[in-house]
Amino acid sequence: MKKRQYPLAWVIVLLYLAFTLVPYLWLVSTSLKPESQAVKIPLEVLPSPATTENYEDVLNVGGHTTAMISTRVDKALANTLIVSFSATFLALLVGMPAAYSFAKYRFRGSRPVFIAIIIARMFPVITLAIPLYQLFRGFHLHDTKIGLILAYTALTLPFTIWMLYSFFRDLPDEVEEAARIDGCGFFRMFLRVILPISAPGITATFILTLIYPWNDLLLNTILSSSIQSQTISSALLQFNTTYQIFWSHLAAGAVLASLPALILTLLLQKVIVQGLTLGAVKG
Amino acid sequence: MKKFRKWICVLLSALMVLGLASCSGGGTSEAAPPEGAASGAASGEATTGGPSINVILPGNIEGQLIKDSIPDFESETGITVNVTEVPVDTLNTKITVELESGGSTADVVAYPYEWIPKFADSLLALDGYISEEDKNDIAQYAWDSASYNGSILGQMYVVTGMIMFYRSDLLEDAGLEVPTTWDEYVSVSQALTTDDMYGTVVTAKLAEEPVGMYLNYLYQNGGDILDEEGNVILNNEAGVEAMQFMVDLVYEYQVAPEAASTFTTTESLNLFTEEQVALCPNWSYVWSVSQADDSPIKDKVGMALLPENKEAGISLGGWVMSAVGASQNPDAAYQFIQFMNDTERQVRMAVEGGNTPTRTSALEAAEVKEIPLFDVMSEALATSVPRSKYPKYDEISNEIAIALSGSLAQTGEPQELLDTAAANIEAILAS
Amino acid sequence: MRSKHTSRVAVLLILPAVVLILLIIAYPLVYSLFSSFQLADGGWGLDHYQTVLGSKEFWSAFKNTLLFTAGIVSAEIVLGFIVALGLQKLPTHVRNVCRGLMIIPLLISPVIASYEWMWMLNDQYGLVNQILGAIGITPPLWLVKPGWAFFSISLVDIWVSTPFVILVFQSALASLPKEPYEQAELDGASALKKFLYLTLPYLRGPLIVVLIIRTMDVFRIYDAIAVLTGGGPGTATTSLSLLAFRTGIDFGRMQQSSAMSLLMMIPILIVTAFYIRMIFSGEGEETRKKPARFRRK
Repeated sequence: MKKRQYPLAWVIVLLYLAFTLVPYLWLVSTSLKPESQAVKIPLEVLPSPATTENYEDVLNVGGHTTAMISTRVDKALANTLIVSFSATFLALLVGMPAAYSFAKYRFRGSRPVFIAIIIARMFPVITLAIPLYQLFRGFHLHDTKIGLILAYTALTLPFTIWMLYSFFRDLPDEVEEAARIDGCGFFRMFLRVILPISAPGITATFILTLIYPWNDLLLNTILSSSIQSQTISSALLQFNTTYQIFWSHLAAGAVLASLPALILTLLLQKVIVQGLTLGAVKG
Repeated sequence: MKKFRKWICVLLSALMVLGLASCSGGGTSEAAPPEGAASGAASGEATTGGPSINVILPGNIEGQLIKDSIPDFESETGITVNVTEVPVDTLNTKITVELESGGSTADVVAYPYEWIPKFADSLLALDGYISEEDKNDIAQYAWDSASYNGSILGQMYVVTGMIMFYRSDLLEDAGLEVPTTWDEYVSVSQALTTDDMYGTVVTAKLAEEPVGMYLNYLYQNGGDILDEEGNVILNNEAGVEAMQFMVDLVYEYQVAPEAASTFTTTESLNLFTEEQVALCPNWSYVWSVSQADDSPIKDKVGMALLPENKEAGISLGGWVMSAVGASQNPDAAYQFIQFMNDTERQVRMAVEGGNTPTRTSALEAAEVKEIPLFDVMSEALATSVPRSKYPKYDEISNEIAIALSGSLAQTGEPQELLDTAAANIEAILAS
Repeated sequence: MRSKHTSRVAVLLILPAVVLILLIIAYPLVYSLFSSFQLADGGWGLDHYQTVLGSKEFWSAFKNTLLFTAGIVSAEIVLGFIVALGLQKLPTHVRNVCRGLMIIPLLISPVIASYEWMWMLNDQYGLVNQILGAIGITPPLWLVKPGWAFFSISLVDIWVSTPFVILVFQSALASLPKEPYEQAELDGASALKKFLYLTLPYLRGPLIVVLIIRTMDVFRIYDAIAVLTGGGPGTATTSLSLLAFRTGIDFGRMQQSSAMSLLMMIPILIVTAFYIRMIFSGEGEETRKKPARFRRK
């Protein structure tokens, strides 16, 4: 295969990468500055000296706080990990069959139901706030991780189904028919044939679905009352005290919050490549 | 392909395990309040056997100080306290949802006192609970500001107002006195404005807090939002002049940074501590921040009352603790409020948090008297006007903020913007 | 050819999802919407809707929201598309590294990103002006005048969300079948022809998906505005979502807020209906234009 060089591509990608990364690197730099150095006029780009005290504070290492606010970022991060990944897995588990059904099968009411699901996503979450709170209180799901998982799953399902639908729709019908002829039942066919082909799309959907619960603030505000179920965005905002913003601590927390999903994405890159080089039907 | 499936299986099972562990294990890893998973943290049930209350606190410094006092409260009274800490950004959402929805188990809520009119229907009237001793010890303005429609609906645990922080070294070098009138304010600011520094600063971002700054100027100019009969007088001469003065400071006399419509107290503080501003009208917390060991302006800061034009007057700022009307444990709720606002706690908040006490007994404590801030603050607070006296204050404040930010961004003239605001406020009060 | 058995299976497949959504989204939504028709005296009526439709603030916010949506969505799609194309031309391992790094803004919640940008755009101690000053550009006051405030708010959303567009387009580009291109190459087609007649049609599906999702999301823009300008100066950057939030939470007028949300739906529905028609009409064509890889000879 010929490998041609595309200098324009490099320029575009590097420019965009700079735009994307500079704010992130600024965040990292701030997280390494002592709190008193966070805001300086004139601006100091690099920490001097660099210190890990913000990370220690934020993770409650040795129980010491320099910011006068003790906020349990470590616990919030753990909650976020558990709740986000569980909700994403659940959304995929429930969403994949649904998306496949909408994409491949016609039955009475499939189109209206599909459209209704998309519409469900159009409302600002604040509209749901009070009745949702009452609902969760009624089911004793308030301030629980399970409750949050269910809520996030439901709220991200329209998006998940939509994304998966678009990937499944492009799969030719012959693939399923071929598998059926071989005598596969539905689930076998799905697991052994559809999934591997759709791996890249499913992985992309996984990552994009994960983001919603990970970054969520409003739902967590409504449905959480303690560190048992508080997630990271809410915990990090405690560093804004109206009078002062503890930037260095906020930055340290934000960097920590971005790491797990970042690591996962980098790991999943390999899966995407694998999925691409396979393919059930060779051309 | 196999590897992919294995990945999924491994991750799925790991999460199932984690999920199960977190749900059943609950809060056993630390001495946390009782796990709410099964009972929804119903008030009144506690593992220790005594009553328990649920308290919603803001996640800021004062909230932290209250939290620190909870162990003392629990051991003295035997009441267990479950704390919900909420970032100030989402406090309004949290409390509104809890109080508006029914099914809330909150007993005590702490919040900015200007929300009292909005929550008034859901709050417990405390008049019957308050002791004679407390009534006399706590300043009258603190009771007035926590009242609405004739009932006392909470206790102020933080009170603040704007005073003038200034660079004493710079004033001394220039041979200037602290300004006491608007004219002096302008001339002193002009004298101190150089290439590296602004004489003063104006805050006008569209938010609640900068409205406080405008209200100061409004009151100092003899104006008000409403008159005694409840008519809107915001856009009269006094009101427009006050806003025009703020605009002139930035654009006419050019003694304040142009980005005023993007500033709140936070930016103002940063500019002051980074030595970009000489005269900084700001809230009382600036004192302890500027005197911190690593502050560049430590020992160079003086404090005075804000300059006046026709009279003295500032807008009161502060936080209040209220008991929820639907609480199952109103007595315990009041005990908490009273405890967190007693003399010992007020002294602690003053010394550790730079928070002005409202109790005479606290103001006379030795450690409190040592701090110069509180003399100035007491004098300033004596001229304060509460925000909670205005019905539908949140909506009124929003209209003022719109006019203020527009004026300082020069997208409109103070007169026309205030006229629009006044008309809208009239409609709001009528609805 | 669809047997009853298939129909039943099809319905069973969507059941769990539908139940979850019904319970957790539909029920609260319907509850809120019903409450928007309830009046203070306990009766039913359209009072709240009249108030909302008669207020200048609502129409001003509507206009602002349209501007934000049009501007941000088109910017994100164009930018995302260009970057995805660029990525596709890079060697595989470089592409993977770059794509991994580009995901980062998605991992920072919009609120935190807004605070960070607010700080970076500060004229006294912000990074942006420092950098611009260093290369000799005099920066404007980013959040003072409505025009620049619009731009700054849009910038935050673009920074946070363009990676999503890139990811979708890049996945689509990566799954393009090779034969049509090789065939076209043999036929002597130019790069431009290949792009116009092969690449673009294949990307129609993902493009529509991205359009719908981003339109729906940007229409509800809230965090960046609340943090950066509070909706100011004046009402210049107030969006519908911000107005609804403020009316419901700050003012405590929940029913009016729900009315606003329902009214907000109408433009979104219209635009989405338009997009959806494009999807479902494209279906007929798609079944005819099978990807060459899978065509049976």
